[in-house]
Amino acid sequence: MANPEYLLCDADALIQVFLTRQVQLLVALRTKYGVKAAIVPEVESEVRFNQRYKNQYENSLLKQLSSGNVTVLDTDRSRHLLRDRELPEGEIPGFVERVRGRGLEYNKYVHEGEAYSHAVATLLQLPLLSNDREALEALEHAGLPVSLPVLRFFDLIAFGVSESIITAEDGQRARSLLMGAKHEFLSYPFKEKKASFSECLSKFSARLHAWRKSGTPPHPRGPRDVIYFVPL
Amino acid sequence: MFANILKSFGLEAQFWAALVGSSERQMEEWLAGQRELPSSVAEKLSKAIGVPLSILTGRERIRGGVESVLPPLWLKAKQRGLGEPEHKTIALTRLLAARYDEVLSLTDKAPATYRIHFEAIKQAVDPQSPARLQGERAANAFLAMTLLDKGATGIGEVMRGHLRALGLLVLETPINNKNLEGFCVPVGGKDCVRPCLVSNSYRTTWFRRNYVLLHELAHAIFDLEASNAVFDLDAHVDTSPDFRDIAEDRADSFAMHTLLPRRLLIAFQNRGYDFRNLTPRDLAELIAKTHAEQGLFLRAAAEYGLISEDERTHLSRFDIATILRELSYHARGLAALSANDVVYPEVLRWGSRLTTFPVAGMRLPVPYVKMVLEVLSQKRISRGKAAELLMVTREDLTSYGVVAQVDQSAE
Repeated sequence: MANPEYLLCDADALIQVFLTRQVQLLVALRTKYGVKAAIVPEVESEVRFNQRYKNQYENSLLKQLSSGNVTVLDTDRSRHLLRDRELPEGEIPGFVERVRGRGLEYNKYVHEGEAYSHAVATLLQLPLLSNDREALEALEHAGLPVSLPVLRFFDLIAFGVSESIITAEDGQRARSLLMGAKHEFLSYPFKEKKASFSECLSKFSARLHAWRKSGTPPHPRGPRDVIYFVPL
Repeated sequence: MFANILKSFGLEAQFWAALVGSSERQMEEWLAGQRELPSSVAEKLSKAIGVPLSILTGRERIRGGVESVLPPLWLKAKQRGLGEPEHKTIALTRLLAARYDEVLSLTDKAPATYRIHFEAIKQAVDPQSPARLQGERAANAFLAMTLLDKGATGIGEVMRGHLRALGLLVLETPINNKNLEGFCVPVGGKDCVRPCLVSNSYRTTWFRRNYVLLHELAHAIFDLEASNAVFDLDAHVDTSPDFRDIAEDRADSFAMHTLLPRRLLIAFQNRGYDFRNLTPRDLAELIAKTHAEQGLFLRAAAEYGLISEDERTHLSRFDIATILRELSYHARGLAALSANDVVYPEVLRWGSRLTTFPVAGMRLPVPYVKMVLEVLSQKRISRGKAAELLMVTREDLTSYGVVAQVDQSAE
């Protein structure tokens, strides 16, 4: 299986990328694996005006949008993607309508950003970067399909360290910044204050790995499964 | 089309940005057509202003000007000279109603039955009779239908529950305009339209709001379908020609006879209150027990011939505020109450129930908050969704006793 064209990002996870100054990870995904970071328009709104940080990350996002490190997967961009995937032209308008309908349906159970992210991710079969485990559980509880898989911010960090995109010190710095920021979510092992970053990393079940073997990497079947990115 | 419709309101981009929770800069980009309006934002605006989604997104063309697609309530609001705070409240009320329906769809609550009841009340009234008599008859029909005519005590504490059980949306929220006492508007989508009764809680008492809500209920029964919206400004400032017309007289009479039917006042007389020789404490006790404000109580007593106009004037000079606070927790404010004083003790822990994001300052109804917290505790919605429904930040959810997401998995 080829790498997905995009890694969809939820607002909370993307803000953690900005907060920990780890945009280089998104750049590396694009340049070394051909996977672009993308957001749905609802997430764009949520990052540009966030309930916790207000306008604090609006300029950061606009800068990444203009540099191409992050893409808004709006109607036009979705159409392009579908054409690239050779979906018949006549089916494209119906697809756009399905995104809208599914987003609305998901929004009954989870916040708008997560709702449209999961909706687009499931319809376009893209992985999603989101820390919101409760949103995932609420959608599963409702019997709705969810993104395969759902990565957490620390999956990106762990991937960055294992692929030497960033150092363990960078990872520790990111962890400290999140610990210092009020109300930021940390995945289980990384919030153990006394444990070192390496100890945490060894306990962490990462869901994102590089695939360097021959053959096709296995396709994730559940939201908590591992996804493999093949280096370019 | 979307930009033209929003611009026709004459409100700043800041207003719309706050309403949908976007940055001002992004709202300006949407208004200028530089960026595509996301369908979720269009959806939210459609619910808030009542213009169909297909028109807002330009999928459906309109014949005529922008005014032809605006729900009449906005034109009426403009005619009444209402400004940004009131527009904000109306839009938020409509959004809240949409969310109310959303939460209801996740619960097993009974469907709205107000139409049947409204029809029965109208049947009980002779439209040829004088307005005040119509109001009185309608009040009797309403009390009998809801069984609120049983017992000789005030109905202020139970009437909200009855109104909500009929499927009406009842809101008591601060609107930064002390002259707007309340209003009544249709809310909800095409298939689930319901009347929403709004009472301005800014500088008003619970006793006054009992009257205002019943007044708006009368408008909902008799006037809403024809006029699409009814805004009630304080009588001292309202100089519009239709003031004190049939609808207003009928609504006033309905509210008075519902809250203070003659039989209730007679029952209190029979319990030993000599209306002609009331002391300030007596009067405060009567107000505490009937749940009506002093002025309305005395007006009703005079209208029923239980006191003279001179006695009404004399009694209206009594300052009973201090005694009333001692006698009724409704006069003391939420902060001064104990768990024994309220039906739902958790309400005291919740604090003000005011929204904080994206728009701050709207007080949410207790049953609505209860429903949201109920579906959250059943894990049917995420905390993020609960925050969206309660219009607060995820951090502010702690004021409702909701703890932050903790990853305890050792995956």
